[in-house]
Amino acid sequence: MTAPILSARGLVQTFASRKPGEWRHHLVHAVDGVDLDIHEGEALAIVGESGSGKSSLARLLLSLARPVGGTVLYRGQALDRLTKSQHRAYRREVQAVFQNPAASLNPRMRVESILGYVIHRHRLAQGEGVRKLIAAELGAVGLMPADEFMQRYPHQLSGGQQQRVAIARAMILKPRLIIADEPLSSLDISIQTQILDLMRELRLKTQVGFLLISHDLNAVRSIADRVVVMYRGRIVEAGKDVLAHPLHPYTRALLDARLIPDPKIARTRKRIVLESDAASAPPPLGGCRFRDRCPFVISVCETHDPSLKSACEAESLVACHRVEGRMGPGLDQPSRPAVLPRDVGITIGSN
Amino acid sequence: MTREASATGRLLEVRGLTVHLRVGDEVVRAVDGVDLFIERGECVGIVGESGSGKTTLARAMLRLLPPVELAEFSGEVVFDGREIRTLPDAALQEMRRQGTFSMVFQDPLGYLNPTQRVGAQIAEALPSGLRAAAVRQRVLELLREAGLREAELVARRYPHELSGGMRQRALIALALAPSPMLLVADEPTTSLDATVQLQVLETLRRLHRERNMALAVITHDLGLVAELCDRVYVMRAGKVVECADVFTLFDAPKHPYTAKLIELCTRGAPQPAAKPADEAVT
Repeated sequence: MTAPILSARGLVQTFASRKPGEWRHHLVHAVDGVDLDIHEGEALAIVGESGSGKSSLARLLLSLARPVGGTVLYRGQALDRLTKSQHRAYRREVQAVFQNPAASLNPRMRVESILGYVIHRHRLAQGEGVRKLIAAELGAVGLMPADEFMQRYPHQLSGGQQQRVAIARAMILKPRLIIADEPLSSLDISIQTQILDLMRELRLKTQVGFLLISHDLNAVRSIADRVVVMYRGRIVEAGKDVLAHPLHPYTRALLDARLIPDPKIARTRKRIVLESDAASAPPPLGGCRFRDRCPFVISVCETHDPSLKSACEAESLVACHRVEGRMGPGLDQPSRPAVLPRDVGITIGSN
Repeated sequence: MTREASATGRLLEVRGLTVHLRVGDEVVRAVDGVDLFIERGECVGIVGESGSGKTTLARAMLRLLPPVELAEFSGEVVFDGREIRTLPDAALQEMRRQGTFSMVFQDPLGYLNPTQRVGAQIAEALPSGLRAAAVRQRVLELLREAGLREAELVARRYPHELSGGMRQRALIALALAPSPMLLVADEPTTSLDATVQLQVLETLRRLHRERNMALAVITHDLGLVAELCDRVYVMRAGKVVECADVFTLFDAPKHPYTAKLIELCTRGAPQPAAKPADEAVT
């Protein structure tokens, strides 16, 4: 098997932060020892709440930030050891699409210059070829007639069109991997579907891989081959089947938090409602980092940090003591009544 | 005017409401002849994509639109037996103070004063004439009611020191201060994480039930409507295209636009068969 296009080994990223009402700064581990392999052509999704470190991880993989510890490997070679030509290849093959398309496009450049800049920078074409290449790329992302869109400024485009231009800018370099950080969340639902369809289509045509960062599990489910769940800087579950057969209690809570567009099911289902949010409470010291919010916590969770191990039947990696066959009873029985939200009971009858 | 005396009839009745907004040199027909009502203690959803006029409708109902932006504002808005579209400003202020209606917004940071502690802002919205100790007591009660357990701590914080979910709860506490009969929530959970969204949703549901307060939820998310609302209005281009009981709407949408919205929402959404535990009671 060939080396993965991009890997993370023991990545750590910290930020200084200050608690309200306190003067002293303390370190927040945004990414706290992440190992990850991204293979060529794979559609990998990273999910988690805000503050779980998904975007920090993306920035490290894109080399937009320097890790405090650990390394990022491009085709098996550490990023800071790449030769000049290897680095150029990395910059060409790994591309980014961001959440807010309006902010990632220069407002004073026309679409033609935005894409033209990339072409000149990487010497993809010259003279007449430049315009041809731009037109072809705009066509590929569904912006037709291309001649008309070339003359527009970003503010003359709708949000969906802006995101298409951002994707075209990434695709023009024929990348092998596009890292897309919440590319859908600023768009209307009907536009989201269109952008997802476009990503699927581009994948079919060019076999480009995607690293999709999203909190929208439904969108993720429809496109990803493999899903990684992050919580407070760590990977807690990873695998192909994560969304269909979640093992980690956090993954289950995330899935349960989705709103179901069917009033009959929405009002009768049982679900885990987590208390507080990851960003506000300080992480517990020692033991499992999910234990303060976990409804299945047992004594071993207080003392031992669970490592990411493969779960018996499913082809996933899970970091939890209580997953089937490890310790304590199975995950059918919560260890504390906190499964119930403090507001109302979980089972809500039709009213 | 006492609440008991007027507690008959519908809480809110809107007839032929038309709002045209001035945007630059153009006039946008944001709301175009909308009929709508809200019963006492009912939870109503107003759904539409961005640009459908749902937020303008909500603001017009509560007279929250700045007059300079209005090119036209006509129709009837009857709240608790009083026509409020033409009500003089002073009378409107009095009505607001007495706790007839409140609104919660999508972006709580924009509606909380950044230079004032959260507790002080809520205290300001309480009825006048309370002693300082009673005010403090009431502020903490409201924060707890909005689901903030560490109420003492939160009351002393500035808005920027709170997380998104806590801010939204602080805004809900603020909206509850005058004990409103109607709470209008404009995209109350859109800017929140899924897990926090669920918490805020449960809080709204509990408040709606415990206080017997009418709730109008404005959202683009049909999931939120399915979870929370009794009756739904679907808006498109300034008009109500469908109005139905929530179960009827999802079972048999009449308007093709509603059907399309539901289809977009259900695509890739959790299927009932995939989660057997969810089918427990029907």
